[in-house]
Amino acid sequence: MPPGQTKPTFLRPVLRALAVCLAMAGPACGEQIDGLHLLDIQLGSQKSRQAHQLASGGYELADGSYQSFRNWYSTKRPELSFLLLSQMSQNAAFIWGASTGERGEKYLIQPALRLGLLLQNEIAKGTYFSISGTVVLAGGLLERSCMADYGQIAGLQQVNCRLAASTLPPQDTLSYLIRESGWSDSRLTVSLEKRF
Amino acid sequence: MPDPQKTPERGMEWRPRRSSALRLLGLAAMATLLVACNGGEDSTANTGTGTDTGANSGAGSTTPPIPSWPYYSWMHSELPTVWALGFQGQGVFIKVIDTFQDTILTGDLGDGVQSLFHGEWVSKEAGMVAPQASIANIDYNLTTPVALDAGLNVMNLSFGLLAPANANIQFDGQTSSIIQYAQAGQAIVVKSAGNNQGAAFGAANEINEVDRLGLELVGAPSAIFVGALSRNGSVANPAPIASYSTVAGNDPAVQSHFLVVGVDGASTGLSGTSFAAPIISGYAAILGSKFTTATPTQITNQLLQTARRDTVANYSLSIHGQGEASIANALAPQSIQ
Repeated sequence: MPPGQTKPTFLRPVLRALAVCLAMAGPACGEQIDGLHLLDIQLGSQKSRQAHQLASGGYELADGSYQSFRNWYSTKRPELSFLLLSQMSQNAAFIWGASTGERGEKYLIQPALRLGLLLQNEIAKGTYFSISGTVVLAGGLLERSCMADYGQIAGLQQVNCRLAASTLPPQDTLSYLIRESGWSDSRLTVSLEKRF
Repeated sequence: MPDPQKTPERGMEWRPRRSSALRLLGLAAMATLLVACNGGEDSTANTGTGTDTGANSGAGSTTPPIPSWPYYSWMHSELPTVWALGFQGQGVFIKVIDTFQDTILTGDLGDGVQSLFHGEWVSKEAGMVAPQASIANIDYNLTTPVALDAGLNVMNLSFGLLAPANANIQFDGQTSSIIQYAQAGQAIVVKSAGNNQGAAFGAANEINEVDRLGLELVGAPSAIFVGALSRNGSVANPAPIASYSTVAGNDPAVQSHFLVVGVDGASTGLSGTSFAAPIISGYAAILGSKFTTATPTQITNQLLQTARRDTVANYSLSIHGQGEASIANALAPQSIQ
């Protein structure tokens, strides 16, 4: 490296890719920058949508007032995630990305790191076999419990917020709290591509 | 001291079989001829969610398995949503003390026209409200004490004991045991209010008789008296008291333990507070399956304290007591954070 030249930082291409994507949006996100490809960037995620689906419910409390789930399972800052591909050779690439996580009053999606590898081989003229895998570190969806006051009949109890008014005994509702690890979003993809 | 003779009665025709100081009367069985078999599509099974009081646990697979109990139009719309999650009466014992002979009524609780004895209807109704409760039918002609099972016991009394107010009577072993359980808070005793339109238990009928069983239960911590609304009420469409129903009256001890529920005699052919009481018995069983460590008195108080007044037309303490029982509100917490 010539004297005076700054050493490329790890973050620089990522930031450049993100900058291009955020500025131009949509199609530009697939463009290559210095061997770096932006595979995906999105606001929200599968887990984020899963949490938001819970917001549609509700029930009446003992006095007849309505308790909605809306504020418990919604957020003003949905999860932001991106996935990049760094080409290492003609047939191999490193996949990596991250997500910011998300927090609602009664749930948490942990920030996540995605790491993976893509291997590709031309097995015949114009025919490519590829295998890729990504693993997700952290990124779990964790539902928080509530404290419910049942008054004289059962007092204060830790419960699943959604099931507090169901026929289940309060302590049994905790078995139905959402506990999904980010690992479940790991992917292995095998593809065979014929180019004409 | 007269020896009580237990005589089943048909509806409002209070006619003693034997002349005795104490007569036991079916207070509520006002069976009407069933013209239509049922309410058409209303009587088909329906496990969908309810309306204005509906609970919804949200989407996802993180909810318990949903059983599919049949819902019929005579039931309150809260029930399907209550049933939607968890068990309904499991581990609770409902003992229907009633007559299982003599009085045959024709009706339809949604699963077809049948002719059953009074007690069989009462038992069937309680079982439809709390499908997983253990239900035992006990003939009220028996004189041996009712035994308690291990767990929550609910005793349904859809009858009364009419006798002169000043008569010196001795209750048999069965009746004495039930009264004792209510007074000691050992079992929830659900008692139909009666069909004489007057105030519960205090008012004498035309031959100067009062319901001595009801009177004995006044002040018992785990007793509930049940009157009838003409149908299930809602905030949008409050229900009036049924024309035949005995009302709470002016005794604060009765008012504080008096509930009403809708009895849809027009569709079932079964009218009277006899068919109001088993709904409350079923509700008590559902509550007992949720609050497994609660005492009978606590279950009783929960039903009384969560009753609704905004679903009753022209609510009055002296008529409706604590209001229309709401199983959804009884299951729910007072507050949650």
